[in-house]
Amino acid sequence: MNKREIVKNGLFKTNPLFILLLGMCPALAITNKVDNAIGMGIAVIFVLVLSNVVISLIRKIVPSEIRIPVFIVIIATFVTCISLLMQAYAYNIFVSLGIFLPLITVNCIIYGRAEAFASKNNVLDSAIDALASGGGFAMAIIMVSVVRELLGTGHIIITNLFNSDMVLFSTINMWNWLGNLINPSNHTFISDFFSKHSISILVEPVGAFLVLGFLIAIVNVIVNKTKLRKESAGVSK
Amino acid sequence: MNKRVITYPLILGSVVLLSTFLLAFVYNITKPIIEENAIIRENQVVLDLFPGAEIKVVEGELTKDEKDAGLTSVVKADDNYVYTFNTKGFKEGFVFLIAIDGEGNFNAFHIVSSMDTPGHVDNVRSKNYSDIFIDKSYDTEFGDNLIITGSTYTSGAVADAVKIAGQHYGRIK
Repeated sequence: MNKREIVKNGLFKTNPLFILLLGMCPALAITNKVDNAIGMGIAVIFVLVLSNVVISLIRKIVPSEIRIPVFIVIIATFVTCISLLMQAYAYNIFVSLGIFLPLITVNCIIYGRAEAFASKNNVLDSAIDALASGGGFAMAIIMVSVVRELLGTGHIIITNLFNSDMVLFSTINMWNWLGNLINPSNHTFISDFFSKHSISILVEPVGAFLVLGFLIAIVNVIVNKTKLRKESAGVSK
Repeated sequence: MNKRVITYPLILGSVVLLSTFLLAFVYNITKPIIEENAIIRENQVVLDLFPGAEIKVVEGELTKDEKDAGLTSVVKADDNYVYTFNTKGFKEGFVFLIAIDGEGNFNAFHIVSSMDTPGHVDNVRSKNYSDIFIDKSYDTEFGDNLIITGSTYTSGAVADAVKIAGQHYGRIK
């Protein structure tokens, strides 16, 4: 399989969350804030890349009968490493992610890529596949969290993962800047609108199901339309 | 068959060994930073209680009773002795601070975190509850006055802590 195809598959064609519906548990639980989604995305990419690389390196040594315990030990090791590193350097995200950080060990995406790809392909392809699948998962949970935080609280605030006091991006500032251009006498009218009409249920667990359901429906519409277009292009040829 | 009996455990053992080395390496790198951050967070809570206070760690070994009650550290914020407890209410991880001023009276109680049922924690967080021992002398016998019916485990942990903090203060004053 060529590398472009691997990237395309991981990010879009077989996106772990939107297409394969893998890793639903953390995706539903931690996507109430964009900060959490970014932290979880980084953790999953870290574990996925390192475990895929190691599993690919030792694929010819490990007999298939004991591959499952070997994979679990490797994945659990990297999950513990990222837990310790987050506890030391990104404590707020570590607390926010809570139990869902150690639970990456049993995330189907990671085990799935190890079993289906890394144990059968070379190191470079495995690393690319891990980056693409991890990136696809991260992209998906960030999309869910953007919708949930913006519509659920009326604003999005992204902080530095290593220093939660440092705000990197805030929609409040952006809306106020935009509001100032449109109506300088009442520059807060856009942020006021979002705050006033926030749908608080979206930051609750049930909101995660609703948002994910809508996003999966949109992805399915796009996928089906693309398929139809390709089919009709094939017929006309 | 015989070959498998040797090679499979050997491979699995090697993977576990390498994982252990990696974990030990990461643990040793992160341990001092995690401990340092914990102290900073703890001091921050003390500073929230006593703004601008100069914080000093109170040296000295804790007794078995003090350790059993979950007393983890004692610091001096100006004239106040601040006791940090990490104990078990209904569940593990009930962290709170009790302070005694220079005259030997309890003067602060603050819950940092708890895994207990929020209702039980709210019962002990209420001002009515802390008023039972705040402004009272460190050697006051509270008996069962600090036990709340229905929140026995949570309030029991605080009652034990108040007693232990008083004993510690009496020992070092």
